[in-house]
Amino acid sequence: MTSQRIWGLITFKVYAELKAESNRTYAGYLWWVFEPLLFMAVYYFVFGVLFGRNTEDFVPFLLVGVTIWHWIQSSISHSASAISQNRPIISQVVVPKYVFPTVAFINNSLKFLVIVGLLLFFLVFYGFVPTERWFGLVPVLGAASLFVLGSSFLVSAVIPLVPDLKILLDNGLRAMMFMSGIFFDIANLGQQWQDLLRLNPVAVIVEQARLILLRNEGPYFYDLAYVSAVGLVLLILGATLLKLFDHQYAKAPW
Amino acid sequence: MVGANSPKPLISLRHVGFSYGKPGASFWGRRAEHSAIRDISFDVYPGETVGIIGGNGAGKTTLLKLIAGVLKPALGTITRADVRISMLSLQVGFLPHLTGRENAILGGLLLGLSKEQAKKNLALIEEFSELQAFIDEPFGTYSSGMKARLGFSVAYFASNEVVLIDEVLGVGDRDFRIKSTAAIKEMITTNRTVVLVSHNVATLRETANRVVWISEGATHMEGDTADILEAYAAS
Repeated sequence: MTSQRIWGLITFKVYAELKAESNRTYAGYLWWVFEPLLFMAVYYFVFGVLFGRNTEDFVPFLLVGVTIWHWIQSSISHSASAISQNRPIISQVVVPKYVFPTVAFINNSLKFLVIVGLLLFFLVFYGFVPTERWFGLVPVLGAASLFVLGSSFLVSAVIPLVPDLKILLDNGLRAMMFMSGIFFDIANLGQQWQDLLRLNPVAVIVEQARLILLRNEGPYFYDLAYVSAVGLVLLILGATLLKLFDHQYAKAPW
Repeated sequence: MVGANSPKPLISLRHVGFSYGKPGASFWGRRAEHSAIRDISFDVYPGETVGIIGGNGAGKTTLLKLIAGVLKPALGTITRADVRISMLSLQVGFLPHLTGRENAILGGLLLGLSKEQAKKNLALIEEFSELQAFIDEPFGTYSSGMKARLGFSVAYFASNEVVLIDEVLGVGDRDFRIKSTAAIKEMITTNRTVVLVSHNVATLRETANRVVWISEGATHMEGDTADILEAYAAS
């Protein structure tokens, strides 16, 4: 298949899966907006109303972290099952396997873009003034995309062959969530812990997004370069493994 | 015979072996030694129809997947000329919530067509499948006969220079079965190159130029259709 054909396949498969998914419910595409509104409302109620007021701007702080984490986590876990879900296809036609995690990534990213829109709307509503600095979110999400796509490739390559790793992945993602400063500010920790946690690209991504949106600061070049570099390494490693194991996926008995 | 006149084969199998089985399972001492294919060799020449015959579990379907490139031989080699080879796969990747038309595009793309070609085929598919207004209804609402009609039409119009067919000559309800069988037979008799797997002696007698008899994962006999089928029937 030529790259043009592959891209045609990827884009149509994205459209097909999103449509199939929305047709499963009565509200369809409206869930793209309702679902994030619901979870934002839950966080707002729990942390803003029940526990709130003592920490300043805790709700916006939390929502920036939670929405980004939601995107990263759902892209990676969908990619873990991307190849096995397409077994019927893989066992009948020759198709490059990176198509499947790429589709999962694009799917989740499109939904995430809607959520980012809602988040920015919420921030303005909450009282933050949008500035030109908010455009800094573009390179942050660009670097983050490299990391998420790279992780997605790697996970999609390995898990169909060693399904046991799925259990480790689920727990690993949970651990990563707690080590990414979603619910707390890494900057409040001791210096040695800060240095350690900032090795985690997710923590860096979340922190940079918060600086831009809530502190009118950044993004910082070295942080983005670090995230991009890790992302690139994962992407190359994942793509290599997908190519290396290309014929194993149709053979695996599950 | 076509094969005898053409010196260069399109596809060439040499001592091909393959087995399903967990690569890591031997570690736990319960290695699945189910060997699908042990030693298969034959050539496919341009324009001919090669029939593959053999009992259930002889490894016929696996063999087609190896030729198509979906699976990779563990032993031996498969060389292919620079042609597009594909299995006549029905309903590949079809999603129940998409319309017939959308599934036709998706299926075409998966079978290797460009988006333009896949869209261009829509008119042909619509006409051949005779689904009429149902083409715009969700695939999940189709009867099994209608599903077969769409699946066949998509695969038929997406088929390549070399077509690998696994038993499916005709599908669907009675009328469509006749129509699709006729279409496949026409495809076989034109100068398209076909590898046809079947355990139906009559089908192969009618269509194949040459027959390869597979038994217990190895080439048992190969040669003229009438000779091989006679020997097969006698076994």
